[in-house]
Amino acid sequence: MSRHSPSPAIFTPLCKSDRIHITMNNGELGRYSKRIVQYFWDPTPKNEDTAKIWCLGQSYESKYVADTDLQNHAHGSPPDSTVSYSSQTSTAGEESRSEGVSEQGGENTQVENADDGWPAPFLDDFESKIWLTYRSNFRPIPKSQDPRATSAMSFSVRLKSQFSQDGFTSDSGWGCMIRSGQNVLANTLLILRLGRGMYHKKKLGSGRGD
Amino acid sequence: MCENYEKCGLKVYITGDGSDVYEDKFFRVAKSSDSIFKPTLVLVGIRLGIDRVTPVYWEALKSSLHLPQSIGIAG
Repeated sequence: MSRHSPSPAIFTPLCKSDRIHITMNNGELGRYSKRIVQYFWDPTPKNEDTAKIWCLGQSYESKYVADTDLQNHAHGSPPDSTVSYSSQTSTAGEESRSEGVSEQGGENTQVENADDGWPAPFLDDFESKIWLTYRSNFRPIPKSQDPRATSAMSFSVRLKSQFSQDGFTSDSGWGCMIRSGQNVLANTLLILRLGRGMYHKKKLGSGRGD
Repeated sequence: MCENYEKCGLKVYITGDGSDVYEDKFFRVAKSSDSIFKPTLVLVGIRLGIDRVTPVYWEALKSSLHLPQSIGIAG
């Protein structure tokens, strides 16, 4: 879509005397289409990369074994083929690790590529982080009476606000910066108080991780 | 918020719209109440691109997220 083409405009007549003109720009159209697709198909992210996985300063080995590498190993081809796959995706530090990948047998794959390919220590770390996300069905936040408020809203927020007269009862469309800011602060306080190595174990009654 | 809750033990230094961290401003925040250096969260405001992240920034961004002192990225 060209940047210079006219923006699509949507007219929503609420009543005869009250026609609202809502315009999306090209960037918003692209993002909105992506969101519509994601509403229907939003699979859990899988790890399909052999590069190291980083979680706030701590790295984890990927342990992902591509299907092609498995077949090559089964047919006894030289380790060079495994090395060349890894080196596409990573820095110099990865070369030594790929030797380890070729030594692991096919039997290990089922275990390694479980959990969608994410290594267990990474999941322990990642799932220990505080995650604050969007909320809905809260007490309505009244809409601003300031005439400049409407133009400050994004297309999706503007559309939603047309349908609810009491105000906002969910922060979808505008909550992301607030929630991501809260996440940053919460996780910083977590690291400050409990240190970097604190993991939440799945079983009840477990203490600190390594 | 951290200024209101001194007991949380965390100071916050925000660079604002720019990405420059100034030593004097930073120390004024970190040592504000009693000249003792407190743990300080540094929030760096950066614009990484217009409609996507400019590719030339990718490696530097990834490297900064590898730092053990990094608490991540929001935006």
